[in-house]
Amino acid sequence: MVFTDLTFLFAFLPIVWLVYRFFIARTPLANLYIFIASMIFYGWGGLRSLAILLLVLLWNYLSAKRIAMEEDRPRRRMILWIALAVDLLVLFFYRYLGVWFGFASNALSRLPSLMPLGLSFYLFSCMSCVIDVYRDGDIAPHSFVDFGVLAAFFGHVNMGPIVHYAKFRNQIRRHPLTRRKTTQGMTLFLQGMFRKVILADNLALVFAALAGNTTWLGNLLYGFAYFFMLYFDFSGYSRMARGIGALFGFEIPKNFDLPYTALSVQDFWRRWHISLTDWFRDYVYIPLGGNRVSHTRWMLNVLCVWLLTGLWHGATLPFLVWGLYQGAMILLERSFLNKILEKLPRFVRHIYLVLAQLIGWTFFCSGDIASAFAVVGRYFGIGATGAADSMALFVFSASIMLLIVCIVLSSGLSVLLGRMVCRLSGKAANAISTIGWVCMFAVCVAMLVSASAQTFLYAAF
Amino acid sequence: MKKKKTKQGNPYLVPAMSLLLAGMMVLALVLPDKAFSYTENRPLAKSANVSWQGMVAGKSAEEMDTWFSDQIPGRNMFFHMDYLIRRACGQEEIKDVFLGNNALLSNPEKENEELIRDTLQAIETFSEQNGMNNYLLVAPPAAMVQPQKLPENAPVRQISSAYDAIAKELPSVHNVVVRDVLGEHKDEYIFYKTDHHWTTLGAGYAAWSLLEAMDIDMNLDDFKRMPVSHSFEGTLAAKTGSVFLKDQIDIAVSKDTPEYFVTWADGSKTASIYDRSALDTRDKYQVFLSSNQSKVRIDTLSDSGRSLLLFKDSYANSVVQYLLPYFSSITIVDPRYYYDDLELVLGSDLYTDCAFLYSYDTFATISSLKDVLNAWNEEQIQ
Repeated sequence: MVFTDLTFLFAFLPIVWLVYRFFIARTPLANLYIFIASMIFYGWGGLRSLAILLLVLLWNYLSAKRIAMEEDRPRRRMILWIALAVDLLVLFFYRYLGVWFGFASNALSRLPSLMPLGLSFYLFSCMSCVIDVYRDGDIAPHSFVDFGVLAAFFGHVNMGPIVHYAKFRNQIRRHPLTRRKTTQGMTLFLQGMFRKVILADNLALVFAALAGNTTWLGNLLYGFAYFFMLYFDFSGYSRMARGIGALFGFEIPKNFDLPYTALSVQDFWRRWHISLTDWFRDYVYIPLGGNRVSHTRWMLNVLCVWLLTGLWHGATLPFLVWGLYQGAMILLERSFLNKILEKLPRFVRHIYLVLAQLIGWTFFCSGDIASAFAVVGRYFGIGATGAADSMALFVFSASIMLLIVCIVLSSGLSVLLGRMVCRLSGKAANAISTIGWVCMFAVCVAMLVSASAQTFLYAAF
Repeated sequence: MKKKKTKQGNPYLVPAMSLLLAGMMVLALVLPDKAFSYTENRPLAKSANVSWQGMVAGKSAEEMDTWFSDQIPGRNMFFHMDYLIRRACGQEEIKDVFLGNNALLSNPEKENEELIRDTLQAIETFSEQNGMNNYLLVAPPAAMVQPQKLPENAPVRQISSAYDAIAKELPSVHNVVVRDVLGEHKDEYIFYKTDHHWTTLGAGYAAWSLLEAMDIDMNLDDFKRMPVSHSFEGTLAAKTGSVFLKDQIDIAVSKDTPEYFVTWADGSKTASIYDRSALDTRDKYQVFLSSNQSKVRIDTLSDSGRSLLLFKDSYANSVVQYLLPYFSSITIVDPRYYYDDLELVLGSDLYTDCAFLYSYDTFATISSLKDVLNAWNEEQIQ
C-alpha cells in the first residue's frame, strides 16, 4: 500500500487513525495497535514481503538484545558484525545480486528475488538500532513491538525517513497526541499530497514526453522536469510520512530543508534526504575517522561514503558515477572552490548549485553513462539537433505554469508565503483555509481517480 | 504561574478531513456497486476475490484497490474535474488525445511497418485469387486531415510515410486514397469532436470516393442527413473526461434506398441497418450496424446485379448506409470478431466486388485482417 492508494486514503487511514484517536491513544496498547496496523499496511502488498520484514525485524531485535546483554567487548563486536553482515547480505541478495550476476539469472529466478518495498529504508533503521545499542548497551529496545514500531511504522516503512534509533527511541515510549500535533500532521499530509500528486506526477508526464528529445530546449526541460520531480516526489512523501507520524503523536524530523536554495553541493546535502546523509555520517564517515585523519585518508573517506551513497540508490554504473560525482564536487569545494564561490554574488552561487545538481540528476536518471553524457552535452548545445522542435515547444507551453509553481515552492519564497498564511487567524481565516485544503484534496483525488498518478520514485530505492 | 499559550492551529481542518475521509469510506460501502461507467465507456471492477494465494502475492489487495478506485463515490465528478483542472493549467494533451480547437483529436497510433507490409501482401494474394474487383480504402485520422484543429505545436505522430505505404497501388487492388477528398472538406464537420470516427458527412465523402472507384455514379446530395442524437460523447470524451463538448449523429437516407433486410451475426433479421436502442446508451455510434458484429449480411431489392463483400472495422459502419442503393447484397465481415473459415462467406454468394474499408489506426496496428486472409490464402495454395 502507498499513501496515494485510494484504499489507503479512504479506508486504511480513517479507520486506523480514528480508532487510535478515540479508543487507543491513551491506553498501554497504543504501540501494539500501531505495530499491527503497520503490519497490515505492509502485508497489503503481499504476505511474502511481510514475512521478510518480520524476519529482518526479529533478527535485528534479537541481535540488539544480545549485544545489550553481552558484557565482553570482543563478543559484543562480533555479534554486531554478524548482525550487520546478515543485514547487508539480505540487501545484497535483493538489491544487487540480480543486477551484478545476471548470468546466474536462471538459478536466481527460482528464488523469491523481488525486492520487498522499502527494504533499504527499514534495513538501515534496523542497523541504526543495532549500532547504537552496541555503542550504549543501556538503550536497547524494551520490546519487539516497540522495536517494530520504530523500524516499521507504516508512516515511514516504505520510503523513510530512515530512523536514527538513539534520537528517536524516547518517542517510542511516549508519543502523546495533542491537537497541535494532529492539526500539524494533517496539514503536512495534505502538503505532501499536493507535492506528490499535483506537482511530481505531472512533472513525470513532462519527463516521459521529452525522453529521447534531442533539442536544446527539449533536453533542458527534460532535465529540469526530473530535477523538480524527484524533489517534489520524495519531499512530498516525506511530508506525508511526517504528517502521519504526527497524527499518531510522533515528531519525525524534517527530511528536506529547501535543498535547492543551497549555495554549494556540501550545503545541498545538509538539506536533501537528511536522514540518509546523517546515517552515512554517523555510521560510516565518523567511524572511518571523519576529517580527523590525514588529508589523503580524509579524501578517501569522503569518496568511500559517496560511493556507498550511490550504491544505496542503485546497483548500476550511473548510480556509482553519480555518487562519486557528488563526492568529487564536495572535495573540490572543500579544497578550493568554496574560496572562489564565497566571493561571488548569491545568485551566481545558486546557479552553480542548480547546474551541479542538474548534471548530477542526469546521471541519476539515465540508463547508461553514454546517454547521460549526451544529455548533459545537449544542455550546453553540444550535439543538440536544434534549439527546439514542436514537441519541446508544445510541452513548454503546457508546463510553464507547473514549472513556475515548482520554482516558487522550492525557493525561500514558499517559506515567506507560509509565514504570511500562518499569521492569519480567526474563525473566517480558519474556515477559508479548511475549504482551501479540502478543495486541494479533491483535486488530488480527481487526479488519482483519472489514473494519472505515478508510483513514488523513491520506492524503487 | 501563567501558562504559556501554544498555538493550536486551525481547529476545523482535522474534523473536516476526518469527516470527508470516513464519509467517503462509508458511502463506498453503502452504495451499490456499478457494473458499467457510461462516462468512461468501460466495465467497472467488481469486489475482489480474496484467496490465500492472492494475499501472498498481493493480488487480492491489488484487486481491492482497483475495485475501490472504480467504485469510489463521485467517480464521474472527479473524472471531469481532472479534465477541467488540466485544461485550466494549460495542458493540451491527455492520454495521447490532443485537446484541440473545439475538438478532441487522438494522436495516430505508431505504425507497425512489418504488419502493414504483411497485410498488404495478404490483401494482394487474396485479391489475385478471389475473382472479384478489389478496393482498399484506409481512412486517415482526424489529426492528419484537420491539422487546423490541433493545439499549436502539437507533436502529432508523423504517419505520412506509413499512410503513403498503405496508399501505394497494388497490382490486383484499386486503392482509394480518401485523404485528399477529406482534405478538400477539412473545415466541414467530417470528424466527431468527441470521438475518433468520422461523421456521417465524412463517411459520405468516403463512400463517394469508393463508389467512384467502382464506376458507380453517386450524388451525395441525394442523401438527406437526419439528426438522431445531439448528445453523443464518444471514445475521446470517455478517455479524457471532457465536459461541454457534444456531437450530433446523423443518419443518411436516400429516396433511392431500396427495401432491404439485415441478417445479423446471431442469425436474427431486421429491416434496418440502424440500431435505435444504441441511442439510449453511451456509445451512440453503435446506431450504425450495432456493436461488434462478426458478420452481417444485407439483402436489398436493388437491381444493380452487383454484390459486395466488405472487410471492415467500425469506420465502415457509417459508410454502409450510402452503399445500399448500389448493391443487391452486401456481406460485411469484421475480422476482429470473425473466427470461422472465410470460405463459408465466400461460398455463400457470387460477389462481384470486394472492399477493405479500415481506419489507419486499425490497419496499421491490428493483425486480424491479415490473419483471416492468410488462413484462406494458405488453404487455396494447398
